[in-house]
Amino acid sequence: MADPILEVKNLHVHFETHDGTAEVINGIDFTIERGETAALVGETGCGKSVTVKSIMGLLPSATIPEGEIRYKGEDVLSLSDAERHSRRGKEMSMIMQDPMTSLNPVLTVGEQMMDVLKWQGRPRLSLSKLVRDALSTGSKAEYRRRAIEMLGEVEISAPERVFESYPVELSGGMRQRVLIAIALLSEPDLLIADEPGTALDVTTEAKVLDLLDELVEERDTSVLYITHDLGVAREVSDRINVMYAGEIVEQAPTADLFANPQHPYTRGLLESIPTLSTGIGDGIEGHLPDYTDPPAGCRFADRCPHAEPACYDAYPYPRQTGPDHATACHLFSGTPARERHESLAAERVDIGTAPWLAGGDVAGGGDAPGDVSADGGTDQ
Amino acid sequence: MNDSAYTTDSTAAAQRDRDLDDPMVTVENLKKHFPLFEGILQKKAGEVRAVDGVSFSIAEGETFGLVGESGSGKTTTGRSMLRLTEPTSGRVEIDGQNVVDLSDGELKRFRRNMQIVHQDPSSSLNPRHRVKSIIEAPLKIHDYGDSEARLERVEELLDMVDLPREFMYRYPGQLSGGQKQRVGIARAVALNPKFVVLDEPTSALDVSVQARIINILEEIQEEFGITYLFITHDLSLLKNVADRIGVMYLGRLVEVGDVDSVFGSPQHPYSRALLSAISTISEEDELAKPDRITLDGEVPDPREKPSGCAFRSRCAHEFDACAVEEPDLYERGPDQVSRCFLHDDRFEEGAEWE
Repeated sequence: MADPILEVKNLHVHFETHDGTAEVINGIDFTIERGETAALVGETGCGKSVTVKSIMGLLPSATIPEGEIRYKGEDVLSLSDAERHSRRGKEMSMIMQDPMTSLNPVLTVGEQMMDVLKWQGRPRLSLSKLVRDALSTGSKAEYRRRAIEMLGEVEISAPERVFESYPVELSGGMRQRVLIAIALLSEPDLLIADEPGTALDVTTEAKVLDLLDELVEERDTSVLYITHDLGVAREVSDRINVMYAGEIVEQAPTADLFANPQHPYTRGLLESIPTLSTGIGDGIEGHLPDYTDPPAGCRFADRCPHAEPACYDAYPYPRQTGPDHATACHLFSGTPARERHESLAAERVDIGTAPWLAGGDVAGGGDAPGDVSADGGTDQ
Repeated sequence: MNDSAYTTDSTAAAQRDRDLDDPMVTVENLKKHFPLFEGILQKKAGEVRAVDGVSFSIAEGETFGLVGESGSGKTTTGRSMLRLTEPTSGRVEIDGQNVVDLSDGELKRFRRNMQIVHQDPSSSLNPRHRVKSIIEAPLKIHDYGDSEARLERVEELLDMVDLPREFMYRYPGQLSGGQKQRVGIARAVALNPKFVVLDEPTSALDVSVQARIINILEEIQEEFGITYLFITHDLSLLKNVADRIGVMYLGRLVEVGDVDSVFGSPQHPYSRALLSAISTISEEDELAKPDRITLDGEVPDPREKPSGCAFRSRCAHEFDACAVEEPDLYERGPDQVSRCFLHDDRFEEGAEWE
C-alpha cells in the first residue's frame, strides 16, 4: 500500500546493562497506514513501551544498532535531536499510561495545555520567541480559547473550571481526558496511546476509549495503540501486532487474528483470557527469556507446548501464512514476510504442522520449502 | 444462626439453596465508617461510610465474588471481615464464630482459620526474608510442630503452588510476579484455613500468569474445601471463578445472586452497565453481554453520597422515590436480589426490565 504514515523496519534496540548488552528489541517490522489504528499487544516486559519510545525518540540511554523508523517516508533515526524535537508533540504525540503521574502536579491543567500550543514544533529555547510571547497578549487569549475548546471536546463538563484546576483536584478519568486533550491539541497526524485505559475503572475505561475512538475518527488521525489486553485491542484496532520478548510473533488484521490465531503464543494468550462463554485456560508456563542472553532461535520455545529441539537454534523468521497474515513460527510454512530472510527460508526447519490444524490447509502442510512462488506478500 | 443472609433487609428474604442454610461465612449489616478530621484541632468533621451495611453469606467450599469499581468498599469489606481494620458495627460469623466479638488473644488464635492473599505480591512479601521464612511465619506463630515438621510443610506448600522446592532459599526480589503471588498463596493456606479472602490476587499479573494462579487456587479449594471471598474489578474473571457474586457500589451491595443469574440477566442498572463495559475477545461473548450502557459522570465523592439511592446520580432511570429513600433488595430469582425501584410494581417503568 502506498504511503503509510509510519513504517518500522528491522528495528533493533539494545541497552547496556551490568550483565551485558540486553537485546530488547530484536528486528521488528510493522506499518501503520494513514487513518488506521494499529495495536501493539503483549505482556509485561515484551518491549511494547520501548518500541514506542524509540519511535518518539524518548530513549536517550538505548542504542539502535540497526533499523529504520520512517515517518511519512522520512527516516526519523537519521534526524538531529532538534529536528526530532520539532516533530514531537506537533506531528506525533503520545498519551502516557498513567494519568496519575504524567501530569505536572505543580502546574494547572491550563498552563500545561498552553505549553503545548506555545512550544509545539519549536526548538527548546528561543529568546526572540520568549520576547514575542511576552509582548503579544493576543496569542495567549487565542491559546486559552483553543485549550478550553479542546477540553470541551473530550467531554469535560466544566472546561473553564478544569482549565484552572491542578491535576490533584481531578479524578483519574478526568485526568485521562486531560491527557487526551493535550495529546490532540496540536492536531498530530500520528497518535501513540500507551495503555490509556489501564489505570481506570472499567466503566470509565469504556467511556474514555469510545471518546478517543470518536476523536481520532473525526480527525482521521493514525493511531498506534499499546495494550496488554487483547479484548481492548479487538475493540479499538484495525490491525494487531502481537509482541513477545522483543519480536513481533504475529501480525494480521484484527478480525483475522481472532478468527485464525496462529502463533502458539497468541493462542496461549487468547486461551488465558477469562471469557464469559468458554471459561479460562491453563495459562502459559514459564517466563520471558533473559534479554542479555536470548536464545538464538525462537524466543518463545522455552514456553511453547509445540517446541522441538530445532526451534531453539533456528530463527523463526516471520512468514506469510495468508494474504495479510504473518506468523513467526516454524509450525507454519510460507514465503518470508521480509526480504532479508530469503536466505533463511532455504533451510526450512521441519517440525510438522500446527496440531490444531488437522487438515493443515492454512499452513500449506509439510510442503517442500519451495513454495516461495506463492502470492509473494513481501510488500510489508 | 439466621437462615437467610438478608434478614436485615426487610423485603428480600430470598430463598437460599440447601448449602446456604448452614453457611461457612455470614456477614450481617457490616459497617466500616472512617472519620474525617478537620482543622488544627482535628475536630471530627464527618465520616466516609466506606462499607455501609453489607450482608451476604457464603456456603462452605464456595467462592463468593465481590465486584465493584475503585472506592466501592470491596477491599474494606474483606479487610473488616478479617478484622484487619476494625469494623464499626455488624456481625461476621466464620464457621459459627462471630469474629467481631473476639478479644485480641482469641482473635489471634482464630486467625489460623481466616487468611488473606493480598493484591500486590511485590509489596506484601518482606523483601529481606527468604521464601522459607515467609511461608513459615504463620506456622511459627501458631506453634505448628518443630522445625523439621515446618520444613516438611513448607515443601508441601511449595509443591501445592507449583514452585520448585529450592525456591525456599530465594528472596522475593529473585522471583517473578506470578511466583511471588504463589508464595503469597502458600503463606495464606499454610495453616489449612477455613476461609481465605483473595483481594485482587491476580490484578497485578499478566493474563497468561493469571490463568495459572487461578488454576492453582481452584485446585487448592477443591482439595481442602476452603471457602473463598474473591474480590476483583474484573467481571469476566469472576464469571469463571465465583459461584455467587455481589456487586458493590459506594459501600452497598446493589445486587447479589448466583453467578449464572447475575451474568445471564443482570437486574440492577449498575450491574448492567458494568457488564456492558467488559471488553471481549469473541463474537459469542459480545452477544452474551448487554449492549453498551454509558454511565453519566463518575462515582460521586463518598463523603457526599447522594441521598436515597447512591447510584441515582448516574442512573438512566430516575423515579421521585430514588432521591427520598434507598430501595430495598427485591427478590428477582431463586437466588438473585437487586436493590432498585425498577423492580417495584408501584413504578411503571419496571415492566421493561422483565
